[in-house]
Amino acid sequence: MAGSNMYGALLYKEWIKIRWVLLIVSLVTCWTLIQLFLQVREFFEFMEPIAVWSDVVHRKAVFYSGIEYNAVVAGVGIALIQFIPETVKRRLRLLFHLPIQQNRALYFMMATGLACTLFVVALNVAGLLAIVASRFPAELVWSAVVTSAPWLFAGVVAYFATVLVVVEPLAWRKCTYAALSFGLVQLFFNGSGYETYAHSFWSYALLGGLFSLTIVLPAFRFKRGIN
Amino acid sequence: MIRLSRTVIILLVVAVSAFLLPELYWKAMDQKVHRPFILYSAILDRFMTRTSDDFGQTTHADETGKEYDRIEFEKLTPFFNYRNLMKWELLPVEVKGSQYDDDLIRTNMQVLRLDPNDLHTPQIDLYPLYESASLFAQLENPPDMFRLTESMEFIVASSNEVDEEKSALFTSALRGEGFQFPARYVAGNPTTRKPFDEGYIAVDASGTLFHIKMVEGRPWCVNTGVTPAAGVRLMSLSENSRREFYGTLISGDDKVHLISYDSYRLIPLPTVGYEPDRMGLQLYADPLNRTIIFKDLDEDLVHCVLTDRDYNAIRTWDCPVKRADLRLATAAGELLFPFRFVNTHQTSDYVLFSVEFGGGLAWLGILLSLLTLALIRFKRPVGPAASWIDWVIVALTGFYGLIAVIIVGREPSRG
Repeated sequence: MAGSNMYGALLYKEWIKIRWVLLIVSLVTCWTLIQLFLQVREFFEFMEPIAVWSDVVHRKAVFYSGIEYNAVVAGVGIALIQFIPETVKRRLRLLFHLPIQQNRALYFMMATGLACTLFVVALNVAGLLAIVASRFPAELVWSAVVTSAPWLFAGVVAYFATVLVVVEPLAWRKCTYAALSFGLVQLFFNGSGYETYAHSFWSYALLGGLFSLTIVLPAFRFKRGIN
Repeated sequence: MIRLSRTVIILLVVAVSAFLLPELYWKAMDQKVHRPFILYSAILDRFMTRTSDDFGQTTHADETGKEYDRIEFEKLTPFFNYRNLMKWELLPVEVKGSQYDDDLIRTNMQVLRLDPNDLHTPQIDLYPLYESASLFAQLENPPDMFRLTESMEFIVASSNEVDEEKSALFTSALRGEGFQFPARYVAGNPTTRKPFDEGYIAVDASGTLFHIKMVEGRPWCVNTGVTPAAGVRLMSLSENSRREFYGTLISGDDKVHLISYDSYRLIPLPTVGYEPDRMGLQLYADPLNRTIIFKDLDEDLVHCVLTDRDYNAIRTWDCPVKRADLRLATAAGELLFPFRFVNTHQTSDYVLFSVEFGGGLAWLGILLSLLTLALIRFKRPVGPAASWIDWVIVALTGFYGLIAVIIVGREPSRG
């Protein structure tokens, strides 16, 4: 019972930290989706509809690339607002003295942040699907899902990567992890045109997903003050 | 959990390094390969090359190495360069006893290209079907695109809805010709910027080629009766006023064919050694001959085949490609990088996740990395249980693993 109250309190604490950032990144997402909607409307208003389809199908114009970095911005923003306050004056050490297991508490915090990042990802997916499906056939809707999957998954990777960078106590290692994270997140933005990750997305997702396991070591060092 | 976390960070550093470091290294070290542009001179009966060097100088030569100036080169390859000859008022030109003016040359010239990317590129299976017997000079966009799945379905772009009537008409015409849905492959030239329209050639579920067009708003379908035994890997159509062939077909056994206007007969091209996944191919048709050029971007040869008008090989030539001496850079690369992850390649439009292993010197690199780790461990020892993972990782990944182990630091003791 005490444990569940503790998790409730932790959830509330995380929500207090995240809510404004979540609101901002959700508004940014909505703004880019509105821009996309208006852009598509403009295409169909001023061009022959078949010419718009042709540009997308045969010239491989990815007209929805405006949402490309939404998830990454959300992941980085949410991780920063969650963990920077915890590392200032080493507050995170207080978490490790709560009557719940250290890693469990840490992963509970990250699950909260991840859920918020996934909310932004879902907002992007829903908006994108609604806009594409309103004007284009099923083939292009599926193509938009496949094309945007690496961009959106990069948001999840960026979230875990940012947590790793922020929690790591040693400055030079923090910088190295930042470079590592940047390099890995960048791997989700290669290729030009649609569906370029059709054969490799799951390999990259597996590699990026490994980031979720990285937090334990820097957190332990943080707790101990080990450099 | 701490050990797992540390190992995962090390593996992530290794993976990202294996993607980025070799790429940066070769961006710094690699030098442009000046591949020659090759034409056949029917006047000299020799292949001719035009090659640039690092200093922007262009050399024109024939296959024996004899050099020419640019004007001579263009005069010796009059079919490909007929526009310049026209400007210099040298047309009609006499080649092998016949006179060729600009009209005769233009109507007998055709260039076809095949790239490895054609086989490795994402594609959305929606196609516009143009009116092939238009009243107007310029082809016009139709209002819809079709898909060939369980039927031939036309989707109207303005409403994003299926045109049931047109779909039923074309589906029934195709079924009448024996087309078995769904199509395995559809090839066409979806642009209005072409002299006329030949529609699409589709491979049905049984592997047979069907020719589909729209003539005066009605379906025009032909069962070609052609069923390539090895299947179809790639087809491309290219309308040309010569009307000799519809386009090219690469069969499942990697052979290149032209799809002839003569009853859709498949004309095999004499391209021994051509590998469509790695090589680019060009076909130049002129009034007298056909020249086929194919090259592997990693190889030091360009393969040239001259054929007669019936595509029988008359002569072949392998043109050597001069490459900068990169032996030292290659050796250093092998030493540093026992393998690399590759995400982009010039032969594919897809983002890849593939691994390329280095050469023999990689073992020396791994040995040096292990010695460096031994030196580090000698100066600052750690317990054997905590360090065996590091040894295994460095032994498998060499320099990458060493960097990762140094960056991530020692496993903290839990005591």
